[in-house]
Amino acid sequence: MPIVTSHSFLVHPGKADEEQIEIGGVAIRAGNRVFTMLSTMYENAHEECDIDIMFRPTDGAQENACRDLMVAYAQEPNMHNGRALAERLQRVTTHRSGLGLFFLATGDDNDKLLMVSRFPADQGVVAQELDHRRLEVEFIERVFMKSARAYKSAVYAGPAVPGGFWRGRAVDKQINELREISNYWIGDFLDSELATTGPAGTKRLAVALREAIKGTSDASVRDELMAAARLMRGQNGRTVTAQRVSANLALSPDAVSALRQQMPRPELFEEQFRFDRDEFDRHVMYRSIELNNGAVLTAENARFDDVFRTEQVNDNESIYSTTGSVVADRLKKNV
Amino acid sequence: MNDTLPGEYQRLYESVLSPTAALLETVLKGHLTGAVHIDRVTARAKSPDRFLTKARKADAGGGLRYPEPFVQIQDLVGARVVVFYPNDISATEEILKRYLNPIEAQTVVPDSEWEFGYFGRHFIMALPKDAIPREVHADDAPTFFELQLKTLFQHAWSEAEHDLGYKPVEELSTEQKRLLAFTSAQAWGADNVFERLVSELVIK
Repeated sequence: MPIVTSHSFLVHPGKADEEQIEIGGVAIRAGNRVFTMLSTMYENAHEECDIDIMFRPTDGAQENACRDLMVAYAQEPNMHNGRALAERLQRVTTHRSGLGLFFLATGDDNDKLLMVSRFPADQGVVAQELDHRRLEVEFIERVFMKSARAYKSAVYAGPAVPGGFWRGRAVDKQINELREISNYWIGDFLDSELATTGPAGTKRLAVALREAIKGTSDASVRDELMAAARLMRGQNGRTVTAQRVSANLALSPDAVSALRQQMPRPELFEEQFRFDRDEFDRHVMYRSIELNNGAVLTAENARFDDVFRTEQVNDNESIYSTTGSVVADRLKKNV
Repeated sequence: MNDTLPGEYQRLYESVLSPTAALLETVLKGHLTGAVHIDRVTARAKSPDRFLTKARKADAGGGLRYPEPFVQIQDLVGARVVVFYPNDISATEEILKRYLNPIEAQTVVPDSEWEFGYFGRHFIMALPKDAIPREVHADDAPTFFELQLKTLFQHAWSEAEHDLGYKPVEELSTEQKRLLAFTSAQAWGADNVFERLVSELVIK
């Protein structure tokens, strides 16, 4: 699906400024090297934009100002409609985010693909080799690069009609697993949120983990996943994917495979969501009690009282009993 | 009217929408596990007849109201959660909104306070990917589904009204409409009495 129309606008920081700087824009013509670069981005946009997002409604109604501007541009990709989106971006751009070059690109068939991207401004040095082993260097400002650390993009597909374009995909290279999702691009500019709510994503991961623990016949994988269940609680509030959590916990390939198989759909292993510890504990919680004789009893919290029968002997002592077949018997340094 | 639409929808209905509705019902029941006063959770795919009727609707200018019916008709899959009492509506809504993203939420009531008819809480929700069966390609599944949240009496009235109101070939008479409004008023009254009783007997 080739790009048919593309525009670019220079967007200044303008958040909280009463008077906005007038935005300069240009139509990018086919044959231009910038156009070629955008075409490559456009073709790969669906793979590169890996965060599922959704526009926020307004007061319970199917209205979203940013979406309206996106639909308008997709329907009539011209300077006027492109500038309206650039102006929206400028009004939410802080001085910390700085100057940026904003691109819009769209095709012309019915199933529209609209891509919006922002390249941050940087400084650089141009080096040019001259004759006689001489080199000329020149400092330049306002270099706009598809930076691996600060580049942002979003893509929307489908017919640009009322009811369409509600869901899209974004990439924000300023996000990493240790930081909150960047409010500037997805929240403030796109007026969107993650398509998967925190509790929904957390529940999915927790249930998959619980079922993987139950389902594996490999004792070492079970131990690994149970340890992961305890450690995952530390992810509270972070934007994560099941894949990234598994990598951070250095799960073995077998443990990752057991977990991945329990996801409702394979692609959900890479779906982003904000981890919610309370939700996680509702679905995966292991209760472990230690007795003064050295015994440690562990079972899934929801089933603990079914797994262990308790008989009170006196005020301080109880008899715990359980019946089952041994599926693993091993020595461990730590419980 | 696109004459390939009936065939396209029939295929979608059988291979995508019906299995998706079945899985959505399971997903919603899972979200409401442990919630109190839930009478039933159901989900269904829009029948081909009803889809085609809606897809053929004209707008004020005489054109099609939904030129892209697969995108613009947002209740290709519909779910209903029925709770016991009006007091349970908001609590159930809060649970569901933890897991689902709505793009629309509205309380549907008759236009005038002097009228009785359809009551209910309606949402257009993003279809969670968990509700798309593995054998269905995610791009083929609808983006949204409609969720109705009703009390037992609202549900009972809407089912009976749906059954009776759509059956006659001729339009309902004034007397028949008044009788339907009367049953709605009775259901509304019963809900209000139960709401008061729950407030007095359960919520202290």
